[in-house]
Amino acid sequence: MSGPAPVLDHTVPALRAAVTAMNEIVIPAVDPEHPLAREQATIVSGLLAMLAERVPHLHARAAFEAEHFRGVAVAVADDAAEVSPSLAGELAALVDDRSAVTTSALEESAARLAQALTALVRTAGRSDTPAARRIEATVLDRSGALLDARRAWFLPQGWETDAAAVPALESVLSTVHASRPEEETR
Amino acid sequence: MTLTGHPVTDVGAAELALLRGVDEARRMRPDDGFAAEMRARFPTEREYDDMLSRKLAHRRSERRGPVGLDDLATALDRFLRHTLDGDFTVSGQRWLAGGASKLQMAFRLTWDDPEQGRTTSDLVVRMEPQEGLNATSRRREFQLLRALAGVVPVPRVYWVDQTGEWFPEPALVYAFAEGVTKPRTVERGRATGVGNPFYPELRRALAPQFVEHLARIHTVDHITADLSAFDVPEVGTTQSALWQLNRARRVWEEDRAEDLPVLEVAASWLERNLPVVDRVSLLHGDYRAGNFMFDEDERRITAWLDVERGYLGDRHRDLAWITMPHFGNHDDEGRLLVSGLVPLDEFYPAYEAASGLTVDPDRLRYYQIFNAYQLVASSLGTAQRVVRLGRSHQDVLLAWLEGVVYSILAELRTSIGGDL
Repeated sequence: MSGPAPVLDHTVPALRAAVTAMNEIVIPAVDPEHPLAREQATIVSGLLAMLAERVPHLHARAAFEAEHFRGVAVAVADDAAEVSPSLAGELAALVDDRSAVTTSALEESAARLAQALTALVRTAGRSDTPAARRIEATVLDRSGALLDARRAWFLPQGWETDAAAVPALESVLSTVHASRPEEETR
Repeated sequence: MTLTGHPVTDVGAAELALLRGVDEARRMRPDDGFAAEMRARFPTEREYDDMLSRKLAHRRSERRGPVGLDDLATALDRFLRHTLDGDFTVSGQRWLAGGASKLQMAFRLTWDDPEQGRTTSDLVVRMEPQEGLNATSRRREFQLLRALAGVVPVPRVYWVDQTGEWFPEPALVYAFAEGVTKPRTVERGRATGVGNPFYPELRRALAPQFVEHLARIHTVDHITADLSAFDVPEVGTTQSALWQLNRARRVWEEDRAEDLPVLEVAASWLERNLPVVDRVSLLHGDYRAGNFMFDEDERRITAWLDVERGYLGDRHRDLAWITMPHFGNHDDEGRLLVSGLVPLDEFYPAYEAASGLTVDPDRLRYYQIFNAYQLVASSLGTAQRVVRLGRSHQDVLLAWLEGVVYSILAELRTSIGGDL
C-alpha cells in the first residue's frame, strides 16, 4: 500500500478543528465592545494552533532537554569536583541514571539535572577560582543549544525579530544524539 | 542533611538543600517562614518588600472567580459614596483591553469636582488581579503620576485604594486617556503592544516627543515631589543596582516553576558587576511603544501610562529597557528603530542633548543584562506561577508570554559573552 500510514491518535486533528471553530465561529461572535474577550479569544486560537504543531514533538523535546542537561553536567564534571565535591557526586549519579523512558520521566530527569546544575552555578558564583569561572563559561556556552530549541518551539507565536535565525525544531531536537555523554571526554 | 556522603559544610550541598527546600508545593502555598526567608535573602526597597510579602500572604487565600463588571461597579459605587461629598451618577461602565497585568474598567462620573465644579468626567478604575505579572504598588503609581503631572502628558489621577479596602483588590482611579496605542494601519497589534510599526510620517512627528518626554522624566526634581513610597538610593554607591537585582532575584526565587542554570550565571555576573549610580533619576520603568497614547491626526503623544515599574535610580535602567530590540522594529535600511520610532544610533545623542545627561556604555550594558534577567524572572517565573494558580484575568496571555522569553535570554547570553 502507498500513502501515509494510519494513526491511532486524533489529538492533532481535534486541535485543528478547535482552531477552526475559534476563528470561524467563536471569534466573529465575540462582542466587539468586550476588547479583553476579543484579545483573549485570539490568543486562545493561537495557542491551540501552536499545540497542534507541537504535540507530536513533546516526547522528543523532553528527551532533548534531559540529554542537554546531561551533556552540560558531563562537561563541567572536572571543575565541579574542584568547586563542590558533593555536587560533583550528585551530578555524576544523575548522569549515570538512564532509567527515564517516558516523557514525564525524561522531564523529571531534566529538571533534576537542571536543579543540581543551578546549585553548582550558585556555588561557583561565590568562588573566585578559575574552575568557578570555567563552570559559568561552560553553562553559558552550552545553553545556546537549549535556547535554540526553546526558541524553535515557540517560533509559531511570532515573537522573534529575526525568525530566519532560529533553527527548525526538528533540526535542533535531532542534535540530542550529538551530546550523549559517552561521546564526551569525561 | 548529607548528599552522597558529603556533609552540609560543603557549600554546594547547602545550595542544593536550599533549592530542594523551596519546592513547587511551597511556592504554590507559601508559609510565613518562606516569606521571611525571601526577605532576609533578598533585601530591597521597603515598598517592594511589602508588595512581594503581600503577594505571598495573598497566595494562601482561595482562588476567587472572575471579577465581573457588576462586581467592580458595585465596589466603585461604595468607594465613591465614601469618598465624595455631593451627589454623583456613574454610567457607561465597560472593560478596557491592554496590559498583561491589571483589570481596567472605564466609566463616566457626573460629580462635583473640587477643581472644576459640577462636571462629567471619563475615568478608569485600574485594579490588580488576585495575583498578577508584577507585584507593584498602586500607591507608588499614584504618586508617580502626580509627580509627572505638568511634566509630560499623563492622565490626571484621582484616588487610590492601596489595600483593597473598597475594591476587591488594590486599585487606582484616573482619567480616561484619549488616543490610540497603535496606528490605524496596524490592524492587529502584538499582545502588549510591543513592536507595532509606525509609518514614516508618524515616526518623524512622534520621535522627538518620545525622546523629549524621557529627558523630562529623568530630570524631574524628585526631592520636592511627594514620592514617599519610593526609597532614594545613595549616589556614589551600588545600592540602587543591588536593590533592583535583589528584587528580581526574589521574584525568580518565589515564583519560578523550573531551574535555569544559564539564568543563575547571569545573576552571579550581575552581582559581581554592580554599577555605581552617579545621579538619582525618576524612572518610568516601562517606557516604550504600547505604553503611550497618541492622537494620530495631530501626531501628538497624549498620555504616558503603565508607570507601575517606576522607581528612583539609575537612568541607564530605563535607557537599556527602551532600546531592547523586542520593543522596536527595523526600518527599510535594516536599522533598529527604538520603540519603532527612533534609529538606535540617533537615540542616545538625542537623549543626551535633550536631558543634559550622559550615557555610559558600561552601565548601559549592565542594565541590558539586568533587564533581560528581570524580564525572564517575570515573563517566565511569575507568569507561569500565576497561570498555575489561576489568579489573573489574563492567565492565557501570561501563558503566551513564555514565547518571548528565550530570545531575550539568548540576547543576555550574548551580552555576557566571555566576560566572566
